[in-house]
Amino acid sequence: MNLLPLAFFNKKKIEDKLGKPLRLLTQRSRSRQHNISLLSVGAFAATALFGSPKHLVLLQRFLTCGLIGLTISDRYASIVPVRGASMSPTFNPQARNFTDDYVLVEKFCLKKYEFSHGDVVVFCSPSNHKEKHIKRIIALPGDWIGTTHNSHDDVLKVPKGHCWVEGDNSASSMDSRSFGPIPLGLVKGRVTHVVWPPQRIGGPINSWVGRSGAMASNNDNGSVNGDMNMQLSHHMEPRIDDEPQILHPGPLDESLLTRQ
Amino acid sequence: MRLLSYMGQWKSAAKEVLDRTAIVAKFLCLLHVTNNYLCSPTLVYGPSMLPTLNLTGDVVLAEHVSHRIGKVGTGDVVLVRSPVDPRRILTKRVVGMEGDTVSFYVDPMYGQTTVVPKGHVWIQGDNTYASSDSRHFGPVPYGLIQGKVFFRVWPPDGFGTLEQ
Repeated sequence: MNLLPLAFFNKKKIEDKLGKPLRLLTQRSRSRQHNISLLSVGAFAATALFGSPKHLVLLQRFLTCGLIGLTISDRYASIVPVRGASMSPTFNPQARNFTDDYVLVEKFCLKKYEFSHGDVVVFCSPSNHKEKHIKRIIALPGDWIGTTHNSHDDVLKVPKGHCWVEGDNSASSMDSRSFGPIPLGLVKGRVTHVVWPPQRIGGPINSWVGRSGAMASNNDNGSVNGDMNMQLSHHMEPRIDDEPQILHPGPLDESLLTRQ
Repeated sequence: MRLLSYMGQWKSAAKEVLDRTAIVAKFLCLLHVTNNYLCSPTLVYGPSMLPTLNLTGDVVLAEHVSHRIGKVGTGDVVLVRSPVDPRRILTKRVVGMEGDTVSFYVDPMYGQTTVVPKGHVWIQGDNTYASSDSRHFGPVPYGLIQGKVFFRVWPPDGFGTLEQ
């Protein structure tokens, strides 16, 4: 199939008439001939634009690779750079200011939208759909989240279909403490590994909290996860299934309290 | 000797299988890109958009170009991922864009007015009596919009663009 337009390009060169493709188009023929004639017209037009069959083949290869790459990055996995320090020290720890971390984002989670506490996700910002942010899921639908607002504590229940996201670096992170819980439909992928720079290749970036069984399994994954556990352990208590867990992430923006 | 000839046949057969598989894979990629970035047919059903869309199901064409370039506006029928269940896609009409003031009635006796926040849209079904929409779950972020419905393909007597 790759060589089909090329073959018909040659045929066009031999015949060298403009009238032939038009006649082919208007002719009542079997659909196969119709497709072939359209291809030949397309090849003829493309050749007029690009000037040689080699360029045509290159263009075709480029388009094919583009389509395949787009499909893979939409359905399976893609690699994205992490900008900013809102997820230090998990990504972009302060020591290196010259290069961004590149992470692997997997899209298999979008089939069922099942996430766990502690998953780092990529999502579209609710205030500007063109921006994407990377934050960690702290609370899932139905969880109660405790926040501090003007020095008095307040408790919010995360509505159905939403989640509460926060950056690991609470001091400089625009997250659910400003814009509230986000619908899970905005999540575009889950971060599993760091792939660049080479000295920080690692992961998988696991859930760092949850039932005590999950906690134990994360301890042997090296210093990155160990640091995460230490930094975040004061935020979470181990979850007991029959008690609503109250989570205390950080100060809350006032506008959130009027929503419910 | 026979083994060598079998290997030769196997090799050519394997090459042909790979070529055919590559063609199918490329076609599926083209299908995916067309469905997600250009135009896709969708079956929509439910009572919330009567009389515009039927109860038992219409096949409509939705285009996925406008919402990426920000051209979705008031009055458009859009496909929106539900904020309550991310696995479901709803079909509703956009009644207010960000910054608009929207008045609505959840209960026929009691009306309310809100301003749509930045980056969000207010969606409502045309059949306000049987629709769960922004009047119940609030304004939805623009990022949840999946596409804009512009044409109906089935049933045949409804073939054509949707009337306002």
